[in-house]
Parts: sequence; structure tokens; C-alpha cells
Amino acid sequence: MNIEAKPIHFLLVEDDAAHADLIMMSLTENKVANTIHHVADGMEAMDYLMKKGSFAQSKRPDLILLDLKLPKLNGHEVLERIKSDDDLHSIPVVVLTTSSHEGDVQLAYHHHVNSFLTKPVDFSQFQKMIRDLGLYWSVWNAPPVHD
Amino acid sequence: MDVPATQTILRRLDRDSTLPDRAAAFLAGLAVTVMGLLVIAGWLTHNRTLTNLHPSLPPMQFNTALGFICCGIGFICTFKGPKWIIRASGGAALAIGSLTLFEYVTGIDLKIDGLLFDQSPDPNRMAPNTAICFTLIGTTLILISNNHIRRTTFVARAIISSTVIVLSVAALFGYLFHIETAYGWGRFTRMSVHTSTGFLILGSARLFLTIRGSRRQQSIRSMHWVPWIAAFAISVLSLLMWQALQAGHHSLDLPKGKHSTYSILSWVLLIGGLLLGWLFQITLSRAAIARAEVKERKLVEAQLRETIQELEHQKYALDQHSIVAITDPRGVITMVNDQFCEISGYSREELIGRTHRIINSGTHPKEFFVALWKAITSGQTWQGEICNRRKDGSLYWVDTTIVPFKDAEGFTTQYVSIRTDVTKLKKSIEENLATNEELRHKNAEMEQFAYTVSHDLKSPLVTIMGYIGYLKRDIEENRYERTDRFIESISKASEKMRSTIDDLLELSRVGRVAHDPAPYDLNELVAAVINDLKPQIHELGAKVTVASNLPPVHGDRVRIEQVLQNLVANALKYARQDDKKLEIKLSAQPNDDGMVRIEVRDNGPGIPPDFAEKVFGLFERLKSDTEGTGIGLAIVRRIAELHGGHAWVESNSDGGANFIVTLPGLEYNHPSDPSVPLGAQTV
Repeated sequence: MNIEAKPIHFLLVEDDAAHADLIMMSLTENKVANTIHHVADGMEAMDYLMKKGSFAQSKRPDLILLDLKLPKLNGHEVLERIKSDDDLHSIPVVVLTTSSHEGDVQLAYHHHVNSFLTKPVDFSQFQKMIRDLGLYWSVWNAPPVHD
Repeated sequence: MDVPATQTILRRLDRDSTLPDRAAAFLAGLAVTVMGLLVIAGWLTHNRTLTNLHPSLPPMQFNTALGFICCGIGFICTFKGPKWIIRASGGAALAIGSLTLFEYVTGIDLKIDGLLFDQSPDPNRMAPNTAICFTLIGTTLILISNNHIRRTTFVARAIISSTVIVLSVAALFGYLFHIETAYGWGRFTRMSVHTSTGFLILGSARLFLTIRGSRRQQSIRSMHWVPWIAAFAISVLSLLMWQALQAGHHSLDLPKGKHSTYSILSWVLLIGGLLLGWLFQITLSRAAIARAEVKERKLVEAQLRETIQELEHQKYALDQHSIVAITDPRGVITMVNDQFCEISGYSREELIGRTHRIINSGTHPKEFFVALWKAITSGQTWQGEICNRRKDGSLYWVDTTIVPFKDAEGFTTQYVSIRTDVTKLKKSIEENLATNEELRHKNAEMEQFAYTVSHDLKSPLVTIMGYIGYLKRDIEENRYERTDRFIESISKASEKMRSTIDDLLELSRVGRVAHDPAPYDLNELVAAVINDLKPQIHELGAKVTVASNLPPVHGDRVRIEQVLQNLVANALKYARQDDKKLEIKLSAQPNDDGMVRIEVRDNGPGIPPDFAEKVFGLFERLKSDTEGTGIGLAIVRRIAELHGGHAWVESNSDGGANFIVTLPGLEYNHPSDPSVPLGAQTV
């Protein structure tokens, strides 16, 4: 590969600890992301992005991996808040969920999601998807310029 | 009855109605035939009694007797017989009469007078008036057979018949009053007594037939000619008698005084006869008109009766089907039918004299009735549905049509309203709408359910497959340091799947009736639930307080226990993490509406107002790290709703949550006919 991977920071919003573990393992193994921060619910995600409380020193992510079914504040609500926020809306958001429900896809795009991915049950497909995802966002995709 | 049969009967009736006519013709024909035969027998046997009746009287001529036989056969055949015989016999009579007249007029002897029988020394020729009569009668017989006869034909026949009658009556008068000139004209042969009688019979029968026939074919109104015929006959008779008297007194050698008396008498008779004829005409005409009027009136009355009866039938039918009321222009009820009384619960006496305000339900706004009155006062028929109130206060719906009626000047005389009870229809439509709404709701719920299920079952599967994939790879690479962690995660995910499946089964069971609804002692149910949860309570060191004297509840025991179990378990599950001791208080009190309000109060972390509704949704959890699938509160709400109650959550002053469920108490008025029976609903 001639093109060099840029250093990239992911925010993973996932309530299911096992899923989070699997996704992070896959991202690390494939050397997709340099750093990953994991939060378990929508509120926490917003706090992280808004640098609230203990997240005052948090790093602005280059990509948000967002599950939809989240406690407290669900994925759609988190997405809506990010995309309607003047500062946050430029961060690419990829929905990564078990749902393939048409309504969810529609709603997510309505809220200007950058990509919608369904978690494959098959292990190798899961691995491939995470690898491709990382490759795409870290190598091929030009990230937005943030002041 | 089929059509041909009806027609046969009608024909028979028609023939029966001509029976008197035909009988009269038959009898008259028989009489003159017998007479003619007797006279011929008299001539052949020289029996003067048969030919002359009395030696002083003139005889009936042989030809006259023959003529009577011809006419008689014609008349007899009118009763029943071929038409050609009638015409032939009529022709024979016409020939005898007209040929004789020809002889009289021309003076030529056709040798027909003694052709068949020579009566010499008596003259053989029949009297001229007899010849006229045969000519006339013969003519009517020839013309007999036209099927449809016009009025002029009837008039002609009547004139002919009455002429025959007048001639014979004049002759008979002559015999009666010894005026020879009345039956004998000049020096010609005389018309005998029996000849006169025979012609009277034939003429009368013919006239009778003519009038009856005419009446069958024409209306009474068009028979105004009958009085004219009568007048004509009387006038001609008086003219004949005047002529006879004038001729008579000149031929008689009377004293001078007698002459003038005779003359005066003849003139009196003529003038009297003409006057009588005129009077007769007027009287008969008037009588005929009166009779026609009576008949017409009867006809109109019969039609009217029929119409009235028809209207009565329709009114009866209407009364059977509809609620009918009539009001005057001000809306005051003047008439109500039985159905109106029945549905409204008011008696007729209570309704008459009142307005419809008596049954006003108050359901419709004022504008509704303003529009109604505006329509009917402007002469339009109003149609619509109205909700009315019975005497007992209950409501009913009627589909109503109000028709205004006006008099000739355009003033409203009354309003007739016809209504149909549509209460049941209305109710079923409403129930249908409710059912539809419920189905819509159920469908939406179903969709949500399927979505959640697919997600919640797929999610642990992703975990399991993922870890198995890593395990396989680790084994291939002989790496074992992560194996335990992976297996632990796999078993956790499997366990989660199992409990999700269990909960789904549980949720599907909620809709089913475990036990028929019955009254239960809430104290006992709560005690049993607390007892079951003792291990968890003990483990958490929580304090559970149950109020005393809980009111009884009415419902499905297993489901009510489930509600209590889930509420207490939920409070335990979200127990606070700090050192403070968890306290759960359970109380219940009856509500005004017959429901029992059960409250489970805890001092746990509480539920933010934003999540107060969310927590009752399927698979919703407030914390990602708590056990369970987030189905318990959904079950609580579902059970409460199936019992006609509700479930919700409020925050309390301790910062904890108050879960409140309403369930039917003993006083709860259960709907007698629930559109959806308890338990018929499934998830």
C-alpha cells in the first residue's frame, strides 16, 4: 500500500460489552485505529463529545462508531444531537448496529449519518467488515479539516 | 288463478248477463210461433175460433200467421242458434211485409196473398199496418248480427221497435174503445186482436233487447236517447189515435153535438199525448241523469274507499316499521304512533301537546337544531341522525326524516317526522371503529415487537459467533490465554439469549387467561409474592414494608401476582449502589371509580421524567449493566391494561420511584358486554 494510514482516533458507542470487546479486538488486530475510546450509553457519548465532567480532556474523535440501541439516549438521539451541533456535525458517524430495519436506516440517513452498517453474525464477514471500515476511513477517506 | 281460466269465467259471466235478453227473445219468439201455428191450423181446419177468436172480430190472415212463424223462429234462434237462420227468417218476414206493402202502394197484385192458402171468400191480404210491422221486425232481425254495434244502430232499432209497439197498441186501443179506424185503415183489411198482441210482444221484446244491449256496450250518460224514444212513441201513439178518431167520426153518422165532442176529444188526446210525451222525455232524462250520477258517485265512493284502505294499509306498514310523529307549525306534537311511545318511554298523553324538547338529549349543539328548523321552515325535507333521551334518561339514536306540509296559501300546516331506531347500528359502528383502532395499535405493537425481538436475539448471536471465531483462530495459533474470557462471554451471551426467549414466552402468555377473573384478597397475594422474593430481599438487605388491610381486587390471580412480583423485583434490581439501605413500601387503596390503586415505592435511584414512559416499553433498560431483558415493566402495563387498569411511574420525595398500578376492585363495574373479552388478546 503506497498511501500511508493517517493516525486516527475512534469513539465507539456500544452498550453491549461483548460487542465492544469484539469490535475493539478487530480494530486493533487490523491496526485500523491508533486509539479507541469506548462509552456504553448515549449520555456518556454526548458527555465525551461535549467534554463534560470527567471527559474534559477527551480527544475529539476522527470517527464515531455508533450503536443504535442504547440505554438512556438511543443512537438516533445521539446522532441527531451530533449532526445538529455546529461543532460536532462534521465528525463522520458510522452506525454499527444489529438492526437492519428499514425504518432505522431511513431515520439514520434523515439525521445525516455518514454510513450505516449492520453487524454480520458470521465471524469472517465481521472481521472483513471492520477491516474494510478501518481501511476506508483511515486510508481512502479524506477527513474534514477541523480548526 | 291462471289467465285462461279467468277469461273463461269472464266470458261465462258475460253470457250470463245476456241471459234475461235471450230468454225474453226466446219466450216472445215461442209465443208468436205457437200463435202462428194455431192460426194456420185454424185456417186448415176452418176453425174460426182459432183464426178470428170471435166471429165479430177480423181474422189473422194466413200470411200474417206465416210471418209470425218466421219472426218467431228468428227470435227463438236469438237465444241459441246460428245467425244465418235469424237472418233468413228475418228476410222471410221482411219479404212478406214489404211485398204486401208494395201491393198496397202500387195496386199491383203479386198473387202472394193467397199463394199458399186461399181464404176466399175472405180477403187474403194482410192489413197494411201488419205489413209495416213485419217489414220493420224483419229488418231488425237481418241486422242482428253485428258484433260491435254503434249508438245510431241502437237508436234505429229502438225507433223501429217502438213503432211496432205503437202500431200494435193503437190497434189494441181501437179494439178496447171500439174505434175501428185505429186498427183498420180505410177500406183495407184490419189488423186482428191477436196480430196486435203478437206485434206488441215482438216489439216489446225487441226494445227490451235493444236497451239492454246498448247499456252493456255504452255508458248511461250516452243513453240519453232512450227518453227521446219514449217521447217519440207516446207522440206517435197520440197522433195515431187522433188520426183514428178524426177518421172515425167522419165515417160515423153521428148527431151534431156528438161530432164536436168527438172532435174535441181527439184534439185533447193529441195535445195531451204530445204533452205527455214531452213530459215523459224530461222526466226520464232527469231520472237517467240522476241514475247516472248515483252510479258515478258510487263508483267514486268505491274508488275512494279503495284508496282509503290502501292508505290505511300503508300507514299500518309504516307504523310497524317506523317511529312516526306529527307536529303543528310551532313544533307541538299532535300525533305519535305506538313505536314513538315505545322507544321514548312516554305515553301518548305525555307527548301530545308538548314539543320534541321533551326527548332532547342535549347531545347536539344548538346550531344543529337551528339548521334543522331553518330547513323545514323553508319547506325543505330534513334528514339526519338525532340522539334522543328516553323517559328513563337513557339515550337512543334515530335516523330521521322531517317533511313539512303546506296549505294552498303556502302556510305550513304540519311537520311529519319518520324515524328509524339506529342505536344498535351506531353502537356497532363505534365498536368497529374502536376495534379498528385497537387493531392498528396492536399492529404497531407487533411491528415494534418483531423489531425488538430480532435485535435482541441477534445481538447475543453476534457475540457468540465472534468469540467462537477468535477461539478457533487462537487454537490454530496455540494461544490459550484468552480462552477463559471468551468462553465466559459466550456463555453469558447464551444465557442472555435463553432469558430473552423465556421472557418472550412469558409476554405471549400474559394475553392468555390463566384463571377466570375472580375476587382475591390482595393481602394474601402480596404476602405470597414477598415470600417468593425473600432470597433476593435478604441478599440486598432491603426492607420491604406492606401496608395492612389492602382492599380486595378482582381479576386473574396469576397475572396479578405477576404484576406484584415484577414491581418488587424491579425495585430490587435497580437497587441503589451506595450504603443506604433499600426500602420498598407497598400500599393500596380503593379509587372512586371502583379501581384499586396499588403503589410500590422505593428509595432507589429513581427514574428521570424523560424515561417515565420509556421504561414500560419492550426490552428497555435504564442501565446497560443490569441484569434482565427489560421486559418486566412491559408485562406489568400489559396485564394492567388487560384488566381495564393502567400502570405508570412517578418520582417520589426520596429520589426513588413510585410505580403505580390500577386494577379492578370488587366495586368495579365490569362492562357487561366487553367488545374484546379479557384474554382474547395476544401479543
